[in-house]
Amino acid sequence: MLTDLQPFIGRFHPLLVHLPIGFLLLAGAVEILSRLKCFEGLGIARLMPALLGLCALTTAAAIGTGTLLSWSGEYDAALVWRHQQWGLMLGAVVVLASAASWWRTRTDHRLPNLLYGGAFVLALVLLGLTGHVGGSITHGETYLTEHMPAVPFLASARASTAMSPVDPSTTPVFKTLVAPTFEARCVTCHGPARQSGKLRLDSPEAIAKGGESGTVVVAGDAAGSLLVRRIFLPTSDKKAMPPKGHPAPSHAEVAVLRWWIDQGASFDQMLADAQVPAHLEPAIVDRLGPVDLSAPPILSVRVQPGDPKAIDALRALKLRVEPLRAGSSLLMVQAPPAARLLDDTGLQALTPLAAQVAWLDLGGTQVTDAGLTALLPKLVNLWKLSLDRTPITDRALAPLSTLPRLESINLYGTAVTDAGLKSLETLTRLRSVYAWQTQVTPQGAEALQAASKKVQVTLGAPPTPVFETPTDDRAMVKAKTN
Amino acid sequence: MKALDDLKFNATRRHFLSAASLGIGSVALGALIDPARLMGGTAQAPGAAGAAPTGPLLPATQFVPRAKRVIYLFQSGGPSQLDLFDEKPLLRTMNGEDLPASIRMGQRLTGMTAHQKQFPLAGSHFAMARHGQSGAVVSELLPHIASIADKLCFVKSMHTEAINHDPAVTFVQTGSQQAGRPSIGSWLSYGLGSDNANLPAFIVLLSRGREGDQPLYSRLWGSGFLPSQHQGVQFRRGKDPVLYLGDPDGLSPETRRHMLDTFRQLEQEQHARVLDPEINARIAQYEMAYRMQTSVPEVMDFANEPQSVLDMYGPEVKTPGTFAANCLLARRLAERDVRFIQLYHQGWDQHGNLPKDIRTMTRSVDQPSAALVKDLEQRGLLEDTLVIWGGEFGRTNYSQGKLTKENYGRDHHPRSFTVWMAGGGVKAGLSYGETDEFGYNVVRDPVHVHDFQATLMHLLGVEHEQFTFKHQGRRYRLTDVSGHVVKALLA
Repeated sequence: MLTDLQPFIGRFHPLLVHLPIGFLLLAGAVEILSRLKCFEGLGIARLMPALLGLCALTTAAAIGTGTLLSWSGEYDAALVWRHQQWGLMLGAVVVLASAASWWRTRTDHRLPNLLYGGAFVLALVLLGLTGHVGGSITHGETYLTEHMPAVPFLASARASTAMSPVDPSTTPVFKTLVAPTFEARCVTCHGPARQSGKLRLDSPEAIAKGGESGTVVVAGDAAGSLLVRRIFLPTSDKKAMPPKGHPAPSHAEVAVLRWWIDQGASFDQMLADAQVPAHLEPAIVDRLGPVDLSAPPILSVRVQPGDPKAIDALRALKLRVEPLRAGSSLLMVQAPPAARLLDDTGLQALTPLAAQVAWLDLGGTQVTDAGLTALLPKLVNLWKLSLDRTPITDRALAPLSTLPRLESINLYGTAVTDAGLKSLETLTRLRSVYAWQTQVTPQGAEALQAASKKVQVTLGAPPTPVFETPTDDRAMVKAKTN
Repeated sequence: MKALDDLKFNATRRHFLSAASLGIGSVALGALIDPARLMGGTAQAPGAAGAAPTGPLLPATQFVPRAKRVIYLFQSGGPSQLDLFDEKPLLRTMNGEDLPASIRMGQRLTGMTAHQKQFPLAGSHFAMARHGQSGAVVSELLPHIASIADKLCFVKSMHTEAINHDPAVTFVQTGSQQAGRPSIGSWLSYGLGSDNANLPAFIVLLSRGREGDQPLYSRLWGSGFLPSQHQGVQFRRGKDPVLYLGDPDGLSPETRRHMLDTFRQLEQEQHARVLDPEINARIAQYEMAYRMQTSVPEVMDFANEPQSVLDMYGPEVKTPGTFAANCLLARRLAERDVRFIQLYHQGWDQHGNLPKDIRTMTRSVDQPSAALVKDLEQRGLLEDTLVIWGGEFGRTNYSQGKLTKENYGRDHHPRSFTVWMAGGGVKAGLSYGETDEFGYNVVRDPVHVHDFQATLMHLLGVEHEQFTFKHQGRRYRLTDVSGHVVKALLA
């Protein structure tokens, strides 16, 4: 009985909240009018204690019904909490204001006047805040701003946040995609406050442990996991989760949950390492914002945009300079055939853009050890480097050990040796080294590959094998099937 | 004269005023919204005054480009996936039995087999085996390609809409079965520009594995409605790779230069009068041709290629115009930053006599294709060069004409075929997609031609849905109105 009455009364909250708003605004209007000449002598100021009193009463009613409504748990918990806090404060301030307005009619003291004025203004401010948060709860947080005309500086701020996608290599799948669903839909009953069925879903350890009915997550088998099966039970079933009356997870949330379990239910997997099926991408984008799942990790590096003058200086040297992609300040700098005469003097033009250069291709140019030793240590965000067919030696490679983001180095057709490769051993992200037509020996290549497991050293294609062309096809298949 | 008059009205007073006010307005708005971007020098409005005619249209790619250039080894005629990559033992056990109607599902056939009373299933005469750590299936006909299986990404679930050569090749190359749209290379030349001012961004090389096969048409590398300097330039075999490029005997380079300068003046005067953008294209092409007078002989000359490299490509590499020679040339062009190198190898249309003819073809492509991948790799070029190997459609699992013990033929089959790729950001050692046990329909992970094109664009950093060109009142794009990037293929 009580359980039915509670939401019934609670749902009068949206009606009742408008009463204190009306009374308070009316009180404000009366306060202003009473000071106007044409209303002088009518004594409308005497209405104030009554108006504020009514306001205090209806505020209390709104707080009461609101609290009942919040128990249904159907709303965004964080917003509800904020709304409640502001609302309680508003109630207190309104009571104060109405008391002060009554008091100031019976005394000439200054204190009640001050109190009245301060409380009134504060009440109006709190009313705006509480009302806004309340509106956000029912209509969504973007309701007000959605159709706001674009103000230039705001628009650019919005565009730039839209342009900076999430970096999948630093985004944990569980924490960003799965845990929020548990948080929103399950933890009220399966968390620190209550542990229905002796199950808690608020930490990786607890989820792995399971509850009364055993383990809830079978890694790799969503269909066989109790967690998923309970969600798919018909709502009439007693064991269906979440139970009747509680908000159910959306299709997208369930799809992501199932995918996470099928993926092995890992708690520390990064999004970049997960295989994301195409149909889940919208759900992921919905939760995380734009995410380019195939984007290389280098994009997570944020740098200031390069000086346009410095970029123009590079272009004057016939180098090709482009952003790594639209919206990124990282640069690709490449020496096309027309820039093959580039030498150490030209390299100095790169120094002002040292933080921005991520992909540097100087293949076939005239750069030497001297120029590179000066430049390379400064290129802290270097990701790909091509120095093929340049007159460099091992000395140019020494500074590379301080460039942790380096993934690929092309050294083909240079005088580098095994000793030069030694300086690459500390590079943890290094994937490929091209060392064809150099002094690098197979032993040197193996040493580097042993030191840094992910790296592939290419020393040139192995000699082409000689194959017999099949002649009598029938005979061949027979020979093989026999 | 009608056409010229029309061109004059390309820019009427009204048109000019509306365009000008919009332009000024959008510049002002752009400055308000994001001054850094507008003034940063990276963005350049298309057709802005002073823009180099070959400069890139896209201010920046939407994705980090995994490939900077493409070598497309197009196998014209439709290679038989069932004899090269798609192993179907069932076809051998059911050899000669009729194709079940439940598999064909009313699929339209070409006029060449539609009249057949029977569709006898034809098992491949060639053994297939798994190769490398990836276990990719490759036929014994392609031992060299099999030896680099771990470097390749096989898409075994390609399907197309066209069933005859011309529309099918046009579909793969331009995204439309009807002629007239720009080809992939032209789109990329237009969008990404050229990295080498001395060579076209889009070069086409033709070769022929055997005589008497389907013809090709130069519109396959046409620029459609894009400015015509973006069309593919065909390099021929023999002494004169680009026709009419060399100066006639007795004409000195100075005289040529002088002639070009005067010619340019006249063209510019004409342009000022009629505002035809094709005049700019023409000037650009003349200038390009002048620079190519030195760059082309240099790139065509294999004299400084070491013997070990020549050996990789096989004995035919020394015969100009062969697939082997074109593969080596493609690598040399890639080294010189040519954006899109399109090879066509003709001779795969094996309606009859397939067991014999396919051997002729595989002999000519196997070693050079594998050599190209290996050669690119040892130079570090495979990292940002995308190699594509495939035709316009597949071939049927049933025999066209009489199936005998020694012989069979296969008709065109749009519902499934195999394409492989290497380098440029694709996942090496992957076999993607699957056909049914008859090798007829795709049963897992289908990849439509538009999906393939969308993925290709993605690898080059271009969002295929945003890269459009307005022509005759609508915006066109390579993938028309469909196409999804196949993320599973990306490394």
